[in-house]
Amino acid sequence: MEAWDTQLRKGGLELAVLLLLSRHRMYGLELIGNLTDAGFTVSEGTIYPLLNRLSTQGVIAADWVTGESGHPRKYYRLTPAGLEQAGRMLRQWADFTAAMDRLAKSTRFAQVKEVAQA
Amino acid sequence: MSMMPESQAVLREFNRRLRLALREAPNHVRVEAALEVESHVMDVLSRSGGKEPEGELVARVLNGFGSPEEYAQAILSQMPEGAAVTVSGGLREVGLAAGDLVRGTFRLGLAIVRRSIALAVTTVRLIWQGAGAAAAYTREPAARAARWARINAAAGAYGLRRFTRFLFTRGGETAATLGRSGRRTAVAIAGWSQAGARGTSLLVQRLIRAATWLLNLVWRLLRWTLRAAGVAALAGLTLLALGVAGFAALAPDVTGWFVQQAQGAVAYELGMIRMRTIGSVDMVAHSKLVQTGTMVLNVAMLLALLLAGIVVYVAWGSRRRRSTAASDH
Repeated sequence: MEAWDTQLRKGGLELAVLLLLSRHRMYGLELIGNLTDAGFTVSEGTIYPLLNRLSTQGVIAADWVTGESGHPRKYYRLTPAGLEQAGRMLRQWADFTAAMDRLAKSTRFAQVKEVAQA
Repeated sequence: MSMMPESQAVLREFNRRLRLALREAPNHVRVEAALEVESHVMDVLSRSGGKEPEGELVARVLNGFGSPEEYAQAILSQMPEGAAVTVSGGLREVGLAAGDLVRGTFRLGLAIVRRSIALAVTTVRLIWQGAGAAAAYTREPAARAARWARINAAAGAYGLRRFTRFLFTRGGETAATLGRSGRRTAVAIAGWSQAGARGTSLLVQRLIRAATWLLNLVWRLLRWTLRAAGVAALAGLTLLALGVAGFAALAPDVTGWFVQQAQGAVAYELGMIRMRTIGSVDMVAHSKLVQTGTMVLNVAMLLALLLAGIVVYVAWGSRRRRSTAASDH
């Protein structure tokens, strides 16, 4: 059960990052803060490798910037390709959740429903 | 925002282990990962505003990355296929580096030759100008003094003669005699001044000669010192190169690892310097920086080997000459 939960979060994390970056550019700590506020629990060891992969794929781009903080920060922003990918993923996610909702509604097992509502 | 030395040491150790664990990743990935960790820690520190003890905070943040080895594994697992260093990729990199090395060495040689020629020309010009100035200085006072003395003497004599003639029309001859004697006196004075000037000129010449001798001595001492230092450095480099070559022959894997670590360290430091001084790093420029650092390291190693070769060749040649001369006798 725990592994399934982890996989679900992992799978959704990429879309969550892309959606956050579609608002405006963000640096690592800012992203982690926003994800935590949205209900995702992510560590540095998860988010940075993911950001690196997305950068390599050209879905997001990164720039080192020195701002008011006085030290350089790496800001991530969505590329046009990333915007398209986020749109596709969001559609798939909607189809997936709709399918799952349909299944959940049609289930005959009252016990499952009770647990889900609890 | 600056960190305490203890926190810096903890962070450096984390990054060192991280780069070590990422040895199979391309150079820029290793450097970028370490820079990212440092930047993240600085972010957390600047946001905390000193509410939490720095040491604990740094430890907690680094804990979020997991151990350096785990974090490296996470990065490697997210890398696309073929991004890690492969044998063919490595060979390609070696080929590119060799091309860079040849080009760099040629440019370096050309620059050294150009600088040497410019230096030689400047030196010759300075010596020539100095010599000219010194010669003019030694010549001119004597000649000028003599000329002035002669002109003054002639003018004095002429004035005196005219004056006495005017005053003593009758005693013109007497006046003329006086004038002549005055002239003679003036000429004598001119002669003395000339002699004085000659004496001064001699003194100046001696001083210049002494200064030249002293400079010559200093130059010789400098040359001997440089030669001794050069021989010592060459001997040291020879030993080092022989040691490296021997080690490389005995344990090529270990040597390769060391070279990679050194390159990584150089690239990391260059990246940090760039971040601190310029403030922003774009990866294209940074990759070029990393390549340059790597190339500098390669050139340094090649030069060391080259120097060692020259020293061995020269030493072998002189030994052979000595032994041939001994057998001739």
